[in-house]
Amino acid sequence: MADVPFSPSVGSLTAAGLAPLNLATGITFNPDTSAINAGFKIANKSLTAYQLSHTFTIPELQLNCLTPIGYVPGNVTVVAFAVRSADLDSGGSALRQSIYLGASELVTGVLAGAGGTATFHVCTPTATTGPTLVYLKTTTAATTTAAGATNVTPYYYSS
Amino acid sequence: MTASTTAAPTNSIFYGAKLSNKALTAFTMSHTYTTAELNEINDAVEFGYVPAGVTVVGVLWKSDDVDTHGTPTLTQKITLGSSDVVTGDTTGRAGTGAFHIITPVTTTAPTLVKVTATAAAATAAAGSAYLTFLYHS
Repeated sequence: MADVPFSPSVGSLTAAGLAPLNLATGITFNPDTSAINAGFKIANKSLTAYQLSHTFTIPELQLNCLTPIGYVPGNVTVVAFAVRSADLDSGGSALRQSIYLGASELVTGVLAGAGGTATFHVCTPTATTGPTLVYLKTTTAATTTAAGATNVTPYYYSS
Repeated sequence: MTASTTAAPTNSIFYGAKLSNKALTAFTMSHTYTTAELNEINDAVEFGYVPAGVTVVGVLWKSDDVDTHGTPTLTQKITLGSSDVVTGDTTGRAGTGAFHIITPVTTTAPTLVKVTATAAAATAAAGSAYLTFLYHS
């Protein structure tokens, strides 16, 4: 079997893990359907990684906002995330974010955006059954929110 | 009391795959701890096997909080065959994750992976742990 590039389309958004999350507060932004934000599934068991990127606007960093960053393909097991971010909290270092894979909060307390740094997070290994969105959620708002780019790189292998 | 040793599952799902090429691969082994597997020094759990003819370069370790004491003491080591590839791990104290870059170890036969408490939990709690080995052929 050849490696499978995943090109998300609007029609695929009803697949498992892509349904909008039901949050009591905050805003869920629409996913980026650009293929550049979708990882590849490798035909064998090789560990692979794919850098997803997003440029945050100020409204997307409000408390409890959930911002889709990109997709992990179906039938893979995600084991870790690397996050590299611009400084999204120009007035301090209060900003904290969580990483969601579909509806599962796999990483909490991400502080890469609080100081413009890079962090690496080992997560509970999680298998996908279909193309699944990766979100960043603001769990502690920034002291002074600033726009900027964030890269999230899931590490995964074929299940 | 005597330290316990929990044998590796014999189900083949706990054996990692060896790739035909040199690509880095990973395999996740998991175990649900009981309190009896954490409350004594030298309590050991065999997680599974890494295949023969591979070189292991890293370990991802993710654990629930399995030492709920206010001042937790649980310390664990990860052993591949006879080599302690990770020592002093405290991930189980708070339910976090850790990425350990290890001195590369090349296997010549299917090799057992074992996690041992080098300091027992102050208050052991049941919970899950996941061990992902990163290796290449």
